[in-house]
Amino acid sequence: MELREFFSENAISLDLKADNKDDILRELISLLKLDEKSEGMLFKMLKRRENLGSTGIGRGIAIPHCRSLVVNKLRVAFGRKPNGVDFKAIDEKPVYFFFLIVAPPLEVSNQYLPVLGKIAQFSKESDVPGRLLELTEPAQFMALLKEKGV
Amino acid sequence: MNAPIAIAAILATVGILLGGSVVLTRLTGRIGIPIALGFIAVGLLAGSEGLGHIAFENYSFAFRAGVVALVLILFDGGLNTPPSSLRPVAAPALLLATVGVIATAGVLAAFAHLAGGLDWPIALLIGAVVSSTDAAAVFATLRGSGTSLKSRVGRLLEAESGLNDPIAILLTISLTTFVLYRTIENGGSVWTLPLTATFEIVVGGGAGWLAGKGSTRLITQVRLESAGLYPVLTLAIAMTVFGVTTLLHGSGFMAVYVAGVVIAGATQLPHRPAILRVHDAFAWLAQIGMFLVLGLLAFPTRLASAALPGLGLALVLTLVARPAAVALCLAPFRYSLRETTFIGIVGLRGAVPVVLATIPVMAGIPGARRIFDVVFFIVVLNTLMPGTIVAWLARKLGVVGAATPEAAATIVIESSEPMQSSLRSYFVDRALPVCGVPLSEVPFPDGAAVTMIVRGSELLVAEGSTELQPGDHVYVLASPEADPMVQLLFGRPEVLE
Repeated sequence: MELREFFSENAISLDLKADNKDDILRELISLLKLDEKSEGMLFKMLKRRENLGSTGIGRGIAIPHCRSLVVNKLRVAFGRKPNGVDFKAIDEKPVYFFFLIVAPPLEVSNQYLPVLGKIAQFSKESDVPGRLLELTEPAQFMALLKEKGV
Repeated sequence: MNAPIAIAAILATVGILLGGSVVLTRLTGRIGIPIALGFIAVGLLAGSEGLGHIAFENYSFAFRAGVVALVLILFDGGLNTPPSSLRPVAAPALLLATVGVIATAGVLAAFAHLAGGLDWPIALLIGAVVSSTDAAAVFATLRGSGTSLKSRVGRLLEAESGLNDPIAILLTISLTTFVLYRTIENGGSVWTLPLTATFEIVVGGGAGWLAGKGSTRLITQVRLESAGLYPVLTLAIAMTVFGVTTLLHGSGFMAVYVAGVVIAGATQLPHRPAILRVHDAFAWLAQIGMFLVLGLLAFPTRLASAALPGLGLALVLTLVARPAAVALCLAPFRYSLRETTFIGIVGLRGAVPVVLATIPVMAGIPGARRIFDVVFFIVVLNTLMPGTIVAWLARKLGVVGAATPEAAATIVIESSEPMQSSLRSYFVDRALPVCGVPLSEVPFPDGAAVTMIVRGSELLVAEGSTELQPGDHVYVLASPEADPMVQLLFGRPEVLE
């Protein structure tokens, strides 16, 4: 299983506009192109997870995630906020890179946790934050995943 | 009566009163009455007009004991409020603790002056005495009903209650001095008061911060022989910080609270659980002691005449003065109307007004005993009215947070040396990715592993096939490098006392 199987260029935004945590979540959700009702349900679930502790894991990276009925297969999106935003990350520093993961409630192939683990591992590589900051178009994000073999 | 017998009698009396109060917390918690009222009732029962016939009307002893009690309560409050939890609510808490306290005192004083016909200085004095809040009273009541608050509401109430005591104390002492000065000298300026207050608070805060930093170094580097000596050292620190700052004309109360906060922020504090537990016990002892003394100092026959003004002032305080002051202070911040209303109504009074009410009596202000009686009523009614509805109100106004039930068993690592890795407990909520997953499928980072699971009243061995269920408390041993990933999987750790 490779991460790039789950990402697509139209679910990548290199210039998120929002400047607070809630709006960042809404903007990330919009990348999945769902209907309005589903977007609302997804936002609630992501907020519930964030209330249990921020998914901002430090070094400018956050991986908001949840299970939700609004998807029938695992969906992911990537967003970048070049100026950073206060995401209540555990290192209390601004977050620049957001990886959204939404999994269906019941998965036959059980991809949710492995994908979460792989994204965390990928983002932990020392040169990745710098490389993500240099991206100018979504295709380069896909190329970076390929280069890293994930 | 010779000395040993006298001491034996005193110890037996204090022991029975304390023990009775402690056992009573079970009952008050179960029926949803604020714990403080139980202690006051024990004091009243033991008093000269109650069953115990203890003749106690020593305001100066009550004040001295009260100061010690406040030092213990504030230091414990600081120790339980690390800077990380204070930071997000620091601005609104500071505003509530300063402008809020003055506005509450002012509105209440205006009512006491206009409707009660009291002189302005006396009216202001009553306002100042009852202006500080006690978050412990709110949390104790909520805990009894199994409800918890949204973190920003709970943290704000907690931070505010730690910060506003020094301001209320300062206001009361200054106003008492002013009333006396005016009486004696027929004049005097009240305009230097804000300047003096600011000076004392700034000196107190600065001294507390410095002392906290120095104390943290001392505690972490001193390497004492016995774990039991650490709480003795922290107690000595609290006493010294209060004493020295007060002698330097700063607010000793502010200093002792800030020192507690700074020490709580230390990442590697040796024997932290032992230190916290002992100070928690001291704070309880101080709370119980103060409310018992309030009960003992009150005379039901004398209270009757203070009932009407007391009731009126308590109603104005609960329904007008405090909510208005809170609305004013929280307006610049992003608090919803429901949150502002809740914070406004549940600013319960604690032991502080009891201690403060003894100051005018000791200073010999004419009619000060009447002030004490009125304050007694305000404290009791203000605790009783919002106190009994606090859980209902929290649900009604939607300020209830995600309640994490306490685990039936907890493990705490006590270390004398700084440890790299830490053992923390995580509550498994349905919204976590690990919920319903066998441990073998959880992508643990290197340097992290589950050591034990508490499920209901059972302790489970962490095996690969063990599936995590909602409601589990999972103990994870993790290195600092592994910590971010562990929190991504499990959320924030539970706080263990």
